[in-house]
Amino acid sequence: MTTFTTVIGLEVHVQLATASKLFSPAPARALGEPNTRVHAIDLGLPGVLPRPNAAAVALAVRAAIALGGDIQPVSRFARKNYFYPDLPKGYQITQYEEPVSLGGAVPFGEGRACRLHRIHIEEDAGKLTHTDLGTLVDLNRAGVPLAEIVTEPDLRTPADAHAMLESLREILRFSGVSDCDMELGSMRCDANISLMPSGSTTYGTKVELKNLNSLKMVQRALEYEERRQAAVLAAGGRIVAETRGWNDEAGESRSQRSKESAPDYRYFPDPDLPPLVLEPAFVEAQRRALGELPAARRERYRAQYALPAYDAEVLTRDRAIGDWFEAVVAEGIDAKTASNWVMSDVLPSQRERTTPLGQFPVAPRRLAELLRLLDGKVLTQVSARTVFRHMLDHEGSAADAMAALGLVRIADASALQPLVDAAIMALPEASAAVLAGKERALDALKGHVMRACRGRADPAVVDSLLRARLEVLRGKGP
Amino acid sequence: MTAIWQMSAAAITAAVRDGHLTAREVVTSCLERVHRIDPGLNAMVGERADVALAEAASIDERRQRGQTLGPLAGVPIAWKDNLVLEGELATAGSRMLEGFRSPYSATVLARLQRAGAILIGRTNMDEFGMGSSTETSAYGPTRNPFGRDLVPGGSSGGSAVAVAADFCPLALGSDTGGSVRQPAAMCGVSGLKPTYGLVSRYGLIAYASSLDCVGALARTAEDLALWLDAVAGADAADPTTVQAQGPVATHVAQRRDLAGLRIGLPQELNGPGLDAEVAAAVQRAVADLRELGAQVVECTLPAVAHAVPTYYLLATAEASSNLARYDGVRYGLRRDTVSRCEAMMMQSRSAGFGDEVQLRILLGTFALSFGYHDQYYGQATRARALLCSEFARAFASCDLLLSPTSPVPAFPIGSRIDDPLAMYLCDVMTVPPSLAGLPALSQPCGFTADGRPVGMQWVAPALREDLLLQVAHVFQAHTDHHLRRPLP
Amino acid sequence: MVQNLADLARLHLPVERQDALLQRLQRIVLAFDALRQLPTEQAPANPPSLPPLRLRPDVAEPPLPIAQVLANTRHHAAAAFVVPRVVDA
Repeated sequence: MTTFTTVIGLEVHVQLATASKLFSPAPARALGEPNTRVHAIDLGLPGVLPRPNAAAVALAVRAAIALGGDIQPVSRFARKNYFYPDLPKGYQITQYEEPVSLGGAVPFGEGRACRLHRIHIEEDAGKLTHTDLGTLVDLNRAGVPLAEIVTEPDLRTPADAHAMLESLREILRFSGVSDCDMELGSMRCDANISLMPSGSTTYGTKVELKNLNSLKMVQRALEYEERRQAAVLAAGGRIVAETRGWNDEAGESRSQRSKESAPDYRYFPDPDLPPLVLEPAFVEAQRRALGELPAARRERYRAQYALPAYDAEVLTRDRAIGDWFEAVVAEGIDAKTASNWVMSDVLPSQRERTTPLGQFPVAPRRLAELLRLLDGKVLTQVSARTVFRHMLDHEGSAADAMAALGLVRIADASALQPLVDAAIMALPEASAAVLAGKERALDALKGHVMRACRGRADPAVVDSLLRARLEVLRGKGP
Repeated sequence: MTAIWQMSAAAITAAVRDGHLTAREVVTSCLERVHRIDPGLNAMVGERADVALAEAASIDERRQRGQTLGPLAGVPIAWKDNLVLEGELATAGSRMLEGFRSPYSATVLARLQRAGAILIGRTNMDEFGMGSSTETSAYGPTRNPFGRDLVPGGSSGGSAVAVAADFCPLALGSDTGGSVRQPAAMCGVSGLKPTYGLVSRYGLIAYASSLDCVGALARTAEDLALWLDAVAGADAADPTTVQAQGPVATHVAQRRDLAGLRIGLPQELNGPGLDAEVAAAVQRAVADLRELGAQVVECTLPAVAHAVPTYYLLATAEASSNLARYDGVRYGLRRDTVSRCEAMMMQSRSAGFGDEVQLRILLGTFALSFGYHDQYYGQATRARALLCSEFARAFASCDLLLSPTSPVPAFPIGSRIDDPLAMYLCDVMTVPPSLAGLPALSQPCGFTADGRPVGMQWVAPALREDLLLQVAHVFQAHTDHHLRRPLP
Repeated sequence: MVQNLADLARLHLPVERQDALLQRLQRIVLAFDALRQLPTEQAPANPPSLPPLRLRPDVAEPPLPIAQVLANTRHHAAAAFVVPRVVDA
């Protein structure tokens, strides 16, 4: 009974986060009514020519740097020729023999990595909607810039593929290259899977899987296909080289077209676009713009701030979160305190309000001020949270908020003395217990004072006033 | 007193600026001549009379208010039907684009309008630029004013006739393998193909992207210079454009003779297969050039032997891709009686494209197809590079190259259309500079015994249009071939 | 062979024209055959070509108004282009 090794490779397309399209100045955010984000160039009108977008190139180079790719100083755009109603020119401008980056790898799991074959830039096609009246063509998406990331067939399990995609998504989001949202279509994945007899060095026949609309779906589809291929081979059959579409509702893949006769795309270098020459200074500028990557930042938070792994994980989910956290620490706040507050107060409030961190109503400096008051015991944890919530909706300092909420600590002995006296009068048993040496009983008296002033008394002052008064009473006798 | 229709563009714009002529008078004269003469020639496929007259009126108003006028103010210009102008029709000589109106303008036309020129109408052409006789147009052939049963050459036949018949002093064409130069030669006018990239292709309906050049036809070198200055130079909308080298019109008349000029006659282009009368006319011109002080040297471009196949494989390969957009989905002819999209595209394309276009698309598809790609397309790319280096070597020992523009003078309509290969082989003189991206100019240098024009072609190093135009101007100053007008 | 090229190019060749077209193509390809024998080792690897690609600043411009997008066809519905059923759906 032959055992098999599963071999998986992925082809990932991510939409680059630019304002305009790859070869036209039409807006790249492809939302809205059909055909309202279209330039003459996107329509493929007679006489138009492509105008390449600098930011698309910059982001693609950043992606390649972040993934350890070898940036090619000269690359070339090429035409991939085929007919389809969502392809306005009858060809797609992509890169073929000379892509912008070769090699690289995506780290995932514990010190593992999936090698990359190449990364290149290309334009997206429009969208088709099939109806009974015919097929509707919307070209809003036509021309949106994409980076195509092709892996080597290094993955060995569907779970690994899932983990690798999660890591890739995190890196690309962190780098500002793409939103990588599979549900919204800014990240798409096709998977190739084959089964290789254990011990063999030749790959088995591979099957391409399409229509994978989420990371979980990628894993589910690969698991299904793994089982299907194993069953075919176990029954003595042959795997057909084909493209299979994943049907998530039915939980199965279905044959789309046979790959025995691959289409002839007649690639040739696009004569309308001179070679893309990337000067070292440009590449270096992208490297600098990229900044620190998630893995390096997690390492640094553990080393520099002695944060536990969990904290480092949460704070590096997004570059903006880590930057925000560090801004608070820069104000002189203890790292763990800052981390706790970011994780349990700032992030939940931010998610509730769905504002980006950059527009969060409490800036790092304001939070730092609040945390200094907390540290100085001017506020308790509970009252500090109250102040924080108030600051979310009102401008002004933490001290202003405290005053507005009536939380300013009463430390004036003459103001507190009547409350202290009243507490002692109200709780004679507790008073006697304290005098008898039972320290614990002091808490009941303190509690009485705090309740009377709604928690605003300075606990240290209340403590010393109670003790002093009780001492005086001891002297006077019962 | 020179009639308006006999005036050069330079003279017209000077007169309009000085107030001796109004732009309205000029345009009216031009349109009157078109209406009277074109029905027998079919050079024009459309005109924009009302708009042109309105534009002329506003130029006259500007002049009266003392405002500045552009360097081509008041000059009526016709343009080839493969250049788009916002709001106007553009068919590229094809059924496929019948009724198509462009929402944007070609850069070259916009620049001409900014210079004050008045675009009067579209000229006929071989379908999508594919032809050397203006016989493949879906809108009928254009006739040569030097003989109405003769072709005017192609693919810019309409523009060549517009100038030869004196509809207007300047007309725009496009030149991929000779489509401005060859009709210029067959119609007794001058035609300029600039250096590839010097004039923006944005708005030129593409045939072969690495070869297409927007060019112009006129009677005089000076007019061609004025045109070039108004349109040349980098365009953000066309990444293949290069910077202009500075104005050429001011220096056109700089030379009095050709002393010190070394003219190379490539042996491959000046001997074999030439019509005897063409050879004779060019030889007489060479003698004239010697008298003007030029030194004539022999030179060789061996790769010319493969220039025609190289050109046709590369051009048709690019064309097969450039014409894939014509699928009936977003614009253009659509056959909508079919129920499947793939079939709709096939039927539409087959109905919209003529035979020559379909033949070239198939040839180009073949050159790029799996299993043949490197032997044909790849090999042609390498042969092209070889030719470029041969030109560079030739220019080390001469300043300009000279040859006949076409091996034959204008031939009868219908006499060659059934033999595409024979037609292709006639492009042997014009395709080499196209492949090398070099500027080339054709000017009249004589006539056959029965009065058909003969043209000679100058080729200069890249971006040396100044040299081309100066030398052409000197030749015109000492000859009168360019002044022979076929029609009163 | 011509049928394969016609499919690739989305051209419909009526059966009665296929032979004539095939003959024309073959004649041309045959005439061009000498090109294949041309020794091209001497050909410069990087011929004088285009200046390096100029890149456009990433600024979005207003798109083409929908009326102009649809102006050159009557085959549209609810702002989308309409085509007959695509088989490979």
